[in-house]
Amino acid sequence: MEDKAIGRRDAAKAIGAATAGLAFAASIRAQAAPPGAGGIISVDAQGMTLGARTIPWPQSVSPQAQAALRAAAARPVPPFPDPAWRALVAQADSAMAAYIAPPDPAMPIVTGRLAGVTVYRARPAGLAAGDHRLYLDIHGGGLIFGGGAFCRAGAGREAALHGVEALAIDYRMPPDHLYPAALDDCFAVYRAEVQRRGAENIIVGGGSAGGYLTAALMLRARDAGLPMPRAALLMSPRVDMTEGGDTISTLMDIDPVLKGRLAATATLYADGHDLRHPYLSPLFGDLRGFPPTLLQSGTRDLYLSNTVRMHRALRQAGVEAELHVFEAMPHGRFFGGAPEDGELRRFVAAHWARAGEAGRG
Amino acid sequence: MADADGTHLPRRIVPWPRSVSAQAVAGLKASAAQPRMPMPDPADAQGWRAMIAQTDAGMAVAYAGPPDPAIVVETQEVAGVTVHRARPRTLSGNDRRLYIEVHGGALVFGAGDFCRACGARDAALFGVEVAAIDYRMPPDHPFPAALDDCLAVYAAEVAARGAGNIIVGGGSAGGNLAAALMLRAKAQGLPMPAALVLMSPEVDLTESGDSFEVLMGIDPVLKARLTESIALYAGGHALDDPLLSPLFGDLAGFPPSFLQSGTRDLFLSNTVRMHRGLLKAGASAELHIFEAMPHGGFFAGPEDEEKDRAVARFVAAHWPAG
Repeated sequence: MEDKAIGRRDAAKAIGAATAGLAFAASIRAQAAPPGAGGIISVDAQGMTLGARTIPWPQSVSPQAQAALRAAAARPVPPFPDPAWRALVAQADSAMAAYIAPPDPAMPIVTGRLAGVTVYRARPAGLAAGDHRLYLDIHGGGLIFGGGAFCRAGAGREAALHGVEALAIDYRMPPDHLYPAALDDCFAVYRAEVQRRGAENIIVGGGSAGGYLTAALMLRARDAGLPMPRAALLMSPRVDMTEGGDTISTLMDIDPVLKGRLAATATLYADGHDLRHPYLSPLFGDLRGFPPTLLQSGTRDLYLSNTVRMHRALRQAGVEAELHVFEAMPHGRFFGGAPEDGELRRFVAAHWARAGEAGRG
Repeated sequence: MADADGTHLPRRIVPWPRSVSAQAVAGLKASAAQPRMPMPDPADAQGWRAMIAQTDAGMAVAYAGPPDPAIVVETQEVAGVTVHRARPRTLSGNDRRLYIEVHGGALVFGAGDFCRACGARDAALFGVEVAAIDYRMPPDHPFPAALDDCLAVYAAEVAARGAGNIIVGGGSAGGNLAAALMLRAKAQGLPMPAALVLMSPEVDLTESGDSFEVLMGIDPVLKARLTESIALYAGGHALDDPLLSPLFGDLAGFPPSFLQSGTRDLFLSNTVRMHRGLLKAGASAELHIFEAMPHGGFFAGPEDEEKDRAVARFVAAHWPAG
């Protein structure tokens, strides 16, 4: 027990160190070269040394998208006090509340319990009573943030987006509930909904940490003999808890949303379990039998490598998987309002419509 | 870190990826160790001729390899254009399928031996007849000579065997010409081929994509913008003309398309923007991005083989039934 506590404290310290590193980087930016500089200075066994340089804001995306990038870059990195994870979670959750759309009277959200798990259910008014389709939304937030109000808003957002009933899972999280509590909760809700309406009427999706849980849920469900859902959506998924992808290095400081590694939250969440276990890093699992899967990322997304590696691994496993990478988009998309998000809505809807044909009625 | 100008990055070390094969890392290191070649001024035709001769000789050595005994290659003229026609020996005589290969090389390099080697390689990979177009290039033949040549060959082959039996593909500059060819063919009322393959395509000669900044210095193959060769090719034409930058064209009616890039590819933005452009225009298009892969591939290793297999699967799935 004590070892674990120390591990968690070290993890929090590591986040603090990463923050200090960013401050150091900022302090030497006076030396930055003008735009266009910064090619390879030297090549050695460690890697390529690149000169200081300025990456201009992209002119190749909408003004709204550019504004979203600037706003994200201007947002300070939240402090990570040791060991005050609860304070950190509360602080981050209140910051995330800024992204929650105001409640829509036409889309009431009902809080309930299903299989012992808190869930939020939203059903568009006017939906036929016999329409059993369900979008199961697994929220993101670094595996420690985004519960409660943010998760609840997700149910309304997905129900409005896809025009079907949506269920958002308020899974348990650290620091009080470590692995496998979150996955257990997702599994319990999925199994209950499969029994209630059949797997063919369910599409599961999630972004970031929610993308991890979505993919891990597929493995867990398959291993338990449950049928796969109609389709899965993995938005910039955190499918490699070891952070082994190349873009963790190449796009560090270029993604204005994910401003550092998240190794500390992985350590906290994993509670001493092997980070390479497929239930923690689904990228390393046997992906055969996955449902048709849509994967989304952006060219400035720190998780671009996560996404493209998962896409390739799914295709290697014989799964129908389609990849959508958006120009200059950071982790978590442009946070609404940008035309790029409109494109995303269209293809998600198209995928759902195609997959939903056989599941209706 | 960020202000009105953009994101300021200090001098930093980008480590070799741990997420790809040892061969792939060796490929990245070898590419990074190559010195960056300074390009001549666009007005210096003699300088370009010397540069092209030297580069083409190097490309032929690097890519051509020994001849594949399973493939017969003949150099011929089609509609006045030099074409290298490659055919697997085992192919049935009445198999009418044709893969038209538009070679890469920044719109100035890669003629002759390299183009011919690409034809033979494709014939082995796809198991069909291949016509590799040895299109004319600068400094003697700027835009639209290369595109004229591609159109002439495509029109002749459509007349000979029908567009449904043709798949068109190209990488880098070849991706530019393959996509521009679709626009030209549409404008002429020619039918579209069965499919289109765009490998890290140079579809935006204005080089406006974000990855031209973000991945500069990170792609060890394309070490700089291609400003000089683009100016040489364009010969004064507007770079945002869709026939020079097909990304800005009307992509409606394009055939099913395969697009490939890598997370270290300077043309990553070119590729993903073209993918989105095609989807927006209602075309069917699939995107394949490879981990840590630079422009053109690692030139070694299982990842390159997986890339080849992915293209081959797409091509095989798009020939007419029966």
